[in-house]
Amino acid sequence: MKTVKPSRLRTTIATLATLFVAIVAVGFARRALHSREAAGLHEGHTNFSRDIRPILNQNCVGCHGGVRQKGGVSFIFRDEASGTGKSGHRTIVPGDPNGSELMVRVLSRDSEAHMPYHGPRLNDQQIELLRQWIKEGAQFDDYWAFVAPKPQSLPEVQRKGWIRQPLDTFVVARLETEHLSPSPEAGKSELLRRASLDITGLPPTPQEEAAFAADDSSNAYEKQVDRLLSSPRYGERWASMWLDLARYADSMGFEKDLSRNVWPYRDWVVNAFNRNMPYDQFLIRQLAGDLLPNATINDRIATTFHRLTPNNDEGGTDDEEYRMIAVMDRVATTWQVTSGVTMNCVQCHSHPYDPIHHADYYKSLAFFNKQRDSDLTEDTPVLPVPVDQTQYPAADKLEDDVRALVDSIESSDRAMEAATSWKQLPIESAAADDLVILKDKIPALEKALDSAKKNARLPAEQKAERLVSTKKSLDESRTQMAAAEKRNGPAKTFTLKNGEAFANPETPAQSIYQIAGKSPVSQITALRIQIPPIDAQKASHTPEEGFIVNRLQVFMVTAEGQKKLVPMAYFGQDSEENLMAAEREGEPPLAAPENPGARAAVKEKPSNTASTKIALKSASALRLNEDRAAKTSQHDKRVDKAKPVPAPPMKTAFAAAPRTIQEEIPSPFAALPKLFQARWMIGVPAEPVIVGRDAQLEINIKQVGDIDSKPAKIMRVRIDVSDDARWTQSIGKHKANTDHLFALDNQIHDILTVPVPVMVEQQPYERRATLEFERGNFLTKVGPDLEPDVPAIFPKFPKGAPRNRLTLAKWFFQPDQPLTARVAVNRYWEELFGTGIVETLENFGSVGELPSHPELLDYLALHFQNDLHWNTKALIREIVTSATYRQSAVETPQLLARDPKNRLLARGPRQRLTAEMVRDQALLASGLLDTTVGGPPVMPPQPAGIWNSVYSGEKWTDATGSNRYRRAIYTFVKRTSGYPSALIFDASDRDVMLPRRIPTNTPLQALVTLNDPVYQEASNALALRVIDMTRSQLNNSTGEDILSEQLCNATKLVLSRPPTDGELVLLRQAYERAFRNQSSARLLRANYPPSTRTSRSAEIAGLTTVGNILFNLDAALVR
Amino acid sequence: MREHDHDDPKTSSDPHIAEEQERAALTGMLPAEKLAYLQAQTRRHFLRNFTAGVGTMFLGASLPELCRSVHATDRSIDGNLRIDFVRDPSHPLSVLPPQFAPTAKRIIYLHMAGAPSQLELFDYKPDLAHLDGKDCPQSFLAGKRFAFITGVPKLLGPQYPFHRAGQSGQWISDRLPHLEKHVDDLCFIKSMKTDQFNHAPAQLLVQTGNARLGYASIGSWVTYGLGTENQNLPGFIVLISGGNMPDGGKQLWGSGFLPSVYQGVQCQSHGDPVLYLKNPEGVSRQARRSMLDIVDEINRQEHKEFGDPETVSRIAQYEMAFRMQMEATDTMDIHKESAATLAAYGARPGEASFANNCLVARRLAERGVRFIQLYHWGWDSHGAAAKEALNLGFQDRCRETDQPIGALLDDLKQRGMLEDTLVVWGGEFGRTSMKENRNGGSPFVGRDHNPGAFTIWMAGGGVKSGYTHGKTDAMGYEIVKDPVEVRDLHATMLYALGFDHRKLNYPYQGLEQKLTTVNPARVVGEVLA
Repeated sequence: MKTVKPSRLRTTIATLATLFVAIVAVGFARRALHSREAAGLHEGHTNFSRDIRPILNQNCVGCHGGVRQKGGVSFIFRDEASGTGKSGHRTIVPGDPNGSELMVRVLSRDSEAHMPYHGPRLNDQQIELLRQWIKEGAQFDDYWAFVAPKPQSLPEVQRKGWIRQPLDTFVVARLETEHLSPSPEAGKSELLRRASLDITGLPPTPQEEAAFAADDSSNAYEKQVDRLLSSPRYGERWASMWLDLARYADSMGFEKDLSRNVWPYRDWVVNAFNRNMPYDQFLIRQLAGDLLPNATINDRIATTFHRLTPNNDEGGTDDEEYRMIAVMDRVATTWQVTSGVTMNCVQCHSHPYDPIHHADYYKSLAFFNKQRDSDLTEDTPVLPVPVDQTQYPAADKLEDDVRALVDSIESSDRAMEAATSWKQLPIESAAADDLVILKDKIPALEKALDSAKKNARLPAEQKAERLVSTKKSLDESRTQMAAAEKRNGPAKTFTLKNGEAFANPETPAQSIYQIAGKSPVSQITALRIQIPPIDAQKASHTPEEGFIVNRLQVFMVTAEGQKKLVPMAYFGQDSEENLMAAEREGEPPLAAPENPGARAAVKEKPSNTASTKIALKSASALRLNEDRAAKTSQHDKRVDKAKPVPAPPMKTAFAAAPRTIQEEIPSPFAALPKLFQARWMIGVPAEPVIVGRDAQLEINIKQVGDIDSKPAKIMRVRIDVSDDARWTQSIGKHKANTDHLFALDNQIHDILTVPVPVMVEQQPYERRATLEFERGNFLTKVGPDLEPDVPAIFPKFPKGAPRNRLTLAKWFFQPDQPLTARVAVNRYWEELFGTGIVETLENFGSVGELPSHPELLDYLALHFQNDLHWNTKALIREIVTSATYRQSAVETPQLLARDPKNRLLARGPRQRLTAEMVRDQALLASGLLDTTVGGPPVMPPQPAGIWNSVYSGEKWTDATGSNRYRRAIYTFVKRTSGYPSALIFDASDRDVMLPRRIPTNTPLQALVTLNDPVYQEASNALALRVIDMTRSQLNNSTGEDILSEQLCNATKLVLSRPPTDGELVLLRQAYERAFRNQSSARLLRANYPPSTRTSRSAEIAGLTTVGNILFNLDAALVR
Repeated sequence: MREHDHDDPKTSSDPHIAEEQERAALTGMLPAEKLAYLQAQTRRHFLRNFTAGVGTMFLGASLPELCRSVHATDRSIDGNLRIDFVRDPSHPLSVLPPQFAPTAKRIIYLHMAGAPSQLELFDYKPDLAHLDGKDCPQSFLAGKRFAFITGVPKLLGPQYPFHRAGQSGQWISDRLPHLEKHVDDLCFIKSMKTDQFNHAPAQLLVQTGNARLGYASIGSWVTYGLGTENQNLPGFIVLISGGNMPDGGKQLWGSGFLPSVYQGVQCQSHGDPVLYLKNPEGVSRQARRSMLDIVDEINRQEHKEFGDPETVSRIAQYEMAFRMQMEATDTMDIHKESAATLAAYGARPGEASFANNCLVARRLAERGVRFIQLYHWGWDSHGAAAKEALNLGFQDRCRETDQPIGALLDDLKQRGMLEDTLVVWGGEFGRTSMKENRNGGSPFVGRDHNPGAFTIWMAGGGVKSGYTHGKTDAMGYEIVKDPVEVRDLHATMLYALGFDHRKLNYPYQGLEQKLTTVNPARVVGEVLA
C-alpha cells in the first residue's frame, strides 16, 4: 500500500495571521461576554465551575469522563475523582496536592506518565489553579445550570431614566460596565412592525399603523402590545414555534410516510396560546394530560405531543425496534423541551460531560415505556375526536362512560380468572390444517384477480402491479395447496411437552391449529386458552413475536368420534385492548361455523348462544380508531402498494381510509405486535359442558394474519379448564355489561370524529419491564428491572407519589428546578431578540454556551415562575415593552465591530422573517389571507411532482378557494417531502424536535419570493388592492398623484411604512418600465376580474411588478 | 489530535494553494462584504468560550493515523473540546480549503435505491450455484433478523453467468456489458456491512451516517466543509429516476442539524430544473434584470440606514439567483449535447431517466458542483412481483443503468475529470444467499435483505483501479475478510476530499456532530491509490 502524503495547506502566513486575530478575538470574547477574570487566584479561592471545570473539560474528560475512564480515572463525579486509579494511586486527595496523582501526572517529565497524555503541558497558571483547588478541598460544584436560579437584586445603574421594565436594569448595567450606551428608541413604524410580527406573526395593517402614529398618549405603544397579545393571530404565531419542538407533522415519516390525523393537537396548541394557558399547565397537559384526574378530551388531545414521533410502516420492519425509537425520542424531547439538556448521548453510555449516569437514562426512559402504542400502522391507540368542537363535551361523557365500563368488566374478568382454580388439560395431539385455509383462500384470490382484471378505474401501472401481486399470491397458494394435499392431512409438526403444544419452524402459520386432550374435570364451566412466551423472563423486556387468532372454536369429540361444537356464551379477555376489540367486533365469528356464508348470517342475526351484537352501522366504518383496524393492518404491509389511499389525504376529515382489506373478521384475541407475557382468553360455555367418558375436547385456533410482513404464528399453547359454577352464573351480568358498552359505543359512532393518536397508559398487568440497554442496543439488555426515576443531579422525585408521567410532568415545575423556568424564558427571549441569553437553546449543559447575562436569566426565570405564575403573555408583554426591546436596530460601524452579534443588546433586534411570516405577510398585504383558525391541514399550490413517496397513493392537490390562502401553520407537513418554499426559508422538516432554527440567506430564497406562483399571485392581488384602495381615497386627482398614492399604499402594506423619497422614485421607474412593456401584460392571471383585465391591464402589470419588488426587499424580509 | 501536533515529516505544506483559496473566498465580494467577511472570520470565534485547540484546527492527520486501530487514536468523544472545523456563518457556501491535499474535488454518488443484489452482479459464488434449492443451513438463520424470510428458506444460486473481465480479471456478471469495459477502473469493496435491514433506515444510514431521522447527509457535510466552487449553482444537487423517491425521502439529502443552506437541491427533469428557477410567464430576463436593479438599489439604501451586514449578503444572494437562473437552466439542458454523446448515454432529452441524469451529472461536475447524487429506484428484488424479480425487473434495472454509467465513466475519463472526481456506486444493504421463501411456486425469483454483506464500487478520485477489497464466504452471505462499515466508507470518502472525518464537525446538542458519528471509524487506506 502506498502512503498518501497529505500536505499541510494551512500553515501559511495568511493563516497565521488569522490565528493571531482568532486568539485575540477569543480573548476578547471571554472578557467581553463572561467577565471571567483570567484567574480566580486574586480572590483567594478557586471556583470549580469557573476555574477548574474548563481545565478538566478541555484536557481530561475525553479519556477520563463519562464515556471512557482510562486507567480507571474519571473527573465527572467527585467520588470517582477522589478514588484510586489502576495506577494504585488516588487521583485526587482533597487537601493534599502533593499526594494527588493528578498533580504528579501534570507535572511529570516522563512522556508516558505525563498528562494530558502525549499532549502539551498545562500552563503554569492552570497547574497553579489545580494545586490551589486541591489544597482547598477539591470541591466539585454543580455546574451553574444544574443549580436553581438565585434571587437577583436589581443592580445600581446610572441611566435610571432609561429603564422601562426591571429587566432593563440588568441590560443597562452590563452596557455601563462595557462603556456602551443604549441606542435611541426605534421609530414608531419600525417598532410596530417589529412587535406585530413578533407577537402575531403578521405585519401591521395601514390602519393599525395610522392609529399608532396618531396616538400621542404616553402608553400608546403598550396599547398596541395589548391589542396584539389579544389577537387570535397570537396563538398561531407562537404555535409555529412550539410545533418545531413538538416535531408536529401531518404524516408518519419513513418510507410510506402516510398521513395521520393530528391536527386537533395543532389546534389545541393554538388555542392554548390564545387562551394564555399558563406554561406549567401547558406542558403538564402535553406530557401527561391523560393521567390528570377527570381528564377531558382536550387534555387527552394535548398528549398527542408525544405521539408525533415518526412511525415506520415499511414492510418487514420490527415494530418493537421502532416503538423503542419512539420511546427514546420522547425521552430526548421531554428533557430538551423542559430542561435544554441532551439525554441522547446517555442512551449508550454515561454522559460525557454532565454528571448523568447511564442507568439514569433508562430510569427516565421507564416513564415512557409504559404506554400502549407500538408502531402500528393505524397509530393505535387513538382517541375519536369530534370534528366539531361543540361536540367535545358529549363525546367526552360517552368516552368516560366507556372507559369506566371497560375498566369494570376487565377488572371483574381478571379477578375471576385469578380466583379460579384451573386444572390443566394436557394436550395429547396437535396438528395444523392449512388445507382448509387454502381452500377458502384460493377461490377468494381467483375472484380478486378477476375483479382486478375488470377494474377500469385503476391507473394502468397500479392495475398491472395488482394483477401481478394477486397472481403471485394465487400461484403461491396453489403450490402450498399441492404440498398440503400431498401431505394428506394436517401437519403434525408440534412438540408436546408438559401437556403444552410447541410449534416448530416447519409448522404452517396460516392454518387452523387443532389441539386436543382429555379434560381433567367432568363438567366444564370455563376454558382458558393461554399463549405463553417461550422464555417468559426475557419476554418481559425483550418480547417474542405476537399472534393473531382469527377464530376460535371448541368441540367435544365423543369416544365414538362424534364431533359437536360447544356453544360459548362469551369470551373473557385478558386486556382492555382485546376486550374492546371483542366488544366492537362481536363475538360470533369466534365460535361461528366454518362456512363464510353462515358467518355473514350470524353477523346479521346473532344467535342466542353468543352475546347479541349487530354489525356496526355503516357510519362507523368511517371511524378508524377501532382496534379492528390495528389488527387488519397487520396483513402484509406491502399489500398497500396495490391499494393506495384512493382519495387525497385531506379531502375529507377521514384521511386515513382503510388501507387493507381483511378477508376474515378477526377475533379479539391477539398480542400485537409482540408478546411480552402470557396472554389468555377464557371461553365460557352457554351451559356447563358435561364431559363424557373418554370424550376429548378439541380446540381449533385459526390464524391467517401477518405481523410485520410475516405470517403471525402461535409458538406455544396451553389449555386449562375449570368447573367453577361462578363462570356460568356470570353470563347474565357479562351480557348486560357488554350490551351497555355496545350501546355507548354506538352513540359515539354517531358523532363525526377523527382518530387522533394519544398517549394511553398500560394497565399494571400488561406493563413491560425496562432494563438498561447494553450500549444502547435494544436487543441486549442488562441489570434489574428499573423503577422510573429522574437523574440524580436534579431535585429528588417526590416520595410516595405515583412514578408516572404525571408526577414527572409536575416535578419539572417544582420550585427548586434549576432549568425549567430558565429554558422557558430563554426560548421566548430568543424568539424576540434573535439570540437567547444562553445562545445554545438546545444545550444548557456544561459544554453549552454560558449565558450572556446570567443575572438577567435568573431574574426572568424566577419572575416568570414565582411572580407571573407561568403567565406567558405577561412575560412576553414585559419583554416587548422593555426599553431594551424598543431600541432602534440601526447598527453603527462601531457597534458592529464591538459586538457583531448584539449579545450586549446596545441596539434593538433585527431578525429575518421566519418561513411562516414570509408567506403570511404576502397574503395579508395582498388581502388574500384567509384567517380561518384550525381544522385539517391545507394544500396551497406547490410545484408538481414534489410528492412521490414509495408505496403511497397520497397526492398533493392544490387547494382552491380560501384554503389556498390560509396561514402557513395550516399547510400540510409531510415529513419526507416538506413544503418546499418553507424549507428553503429554514422551516423544520419536523423529523425530530428542533430547538432553534438557524436563519440562512441564500439565492434559493430569492428564487422563492421572485418566482413562486404564491408570491406572483400575491403581487397581482396587491396590485388590484391598491388600485381599489386608491380609487376610494382620491376621486379627483391627477394620474401622477394617483400613482404616487398607489405606490405609497403598496409600500405601507408590505413594509409597514411609507416609501422614502428615493424608494418612491425607484418604484415609479419600475412601474413605468412594466407599464410600457407589452409582454408584461401577460403577467395577468386567471384571478383577475375580467373587467379590469382589458381596460387596465398595463396599470395592473406595472403595479404587479412593484408588488413583486416589494416582497423581495430586504426591508420586507426582516422585522 | 494532540498526539500529532508535530508536523509529520512525510507531509509537505503548500502555502500557495491556501493563499489562493483565501483569495478566492474574498474575490467577487463587495468592499462592505469583504469587511463583513473579515469581521465574521473573527466572529466565528465568539462561538466558543475556550482558547485551547485553536492551534490544532489547521493541522491535518496523516493517513496511517486515520487507518490505525481506532481505539488508540479515536478522540471523537472529546471532539468538542477543540475547534476542529469552523466556517464563517455569514458566508455559508464560500470555498474553504480542505484540511489536507485532496485526491478528489467532487463526488458523483450513484445510489441504487432498493439494494441491488451483489450475487447477481459482482460477488461471484460458484458454490452457491451448486447448492441452489437446498435448505438453508440453520447456522445462517440463528440470531438473525430478516425483513421477510420466515421458517427455513432455500439457497438460491446466482441467476446470471459470470466471467472474468479486463486486465484485472475481476468477476462480473453478464448483466453489465458496458460497465465491464471499465472494470479496470473500478475499485470494489465486497465487504460492506450495515446494521439496518429495512430500506428507509438503511438508506438514511448510508446517506447521513445514522439510521434515525434528523442527521445531516454526506452531501451536506461536504458542502459545509468545502463550500461550492460555482456560486451560480447549488453545491449539492440530487437527481432522481426510476419513478419513485428513494424510500428514505428527502431526508436523504437533508441537512439535519446543519443549517438548511447545506441541504441538497433536487433538480427535476420536468418543469423547473431547480424549484422556482424560471421567471413567471411574461417576465423576460431583461425585465427581471431591471427589476432586480431596483431591488438592489433600494436594498443598498436600506443598508445605509440600518448597517445590517445581512443586507449585504442579501444583495449578493439576489445577484447569485439571477446568475443561477441562467446557469442552472443551461446546465440541465442536455439538448446542447451532440447526438453522439446522447447516443453514448442512451439519453433522450425530456425524459426522467437515469441516462439523462448521468449526462447531467457530468455537466454539473464540469461546472464545479461539489456533490452530485443520483438515485435510481427499483432494485428491491424480493421476487414478489415481476417488476422486482431477479429474473425479470432486475434485468431492466441493469439495462437502465449499465450503459449510462459506462458512458459517464468514459466521458469523465476523456475529459480528464475522472482523476479528481470520485464516483461511488452502491445500495443500502445486500441481499441474502437464500431465496425468499414467501414465493412458493411463483415464477419470480427474489432475495431478502442482507445487512451482513454487500458490494459497492468506487472509481476515480484517488482510489485504486482494478482492485477488490474484502471478501465474503462461499455463499456470499457473511464477510470473511476486511469488513467495511458504512462509517468507514464515509471516512474514506471524506479523506479523498481532504478531510479528517474526526475533524469535520459541527457543534449541536452538546456534541461535535460528525458524519461518522461517535462510533470508531477508519479510512479504508487499502483502497486508496
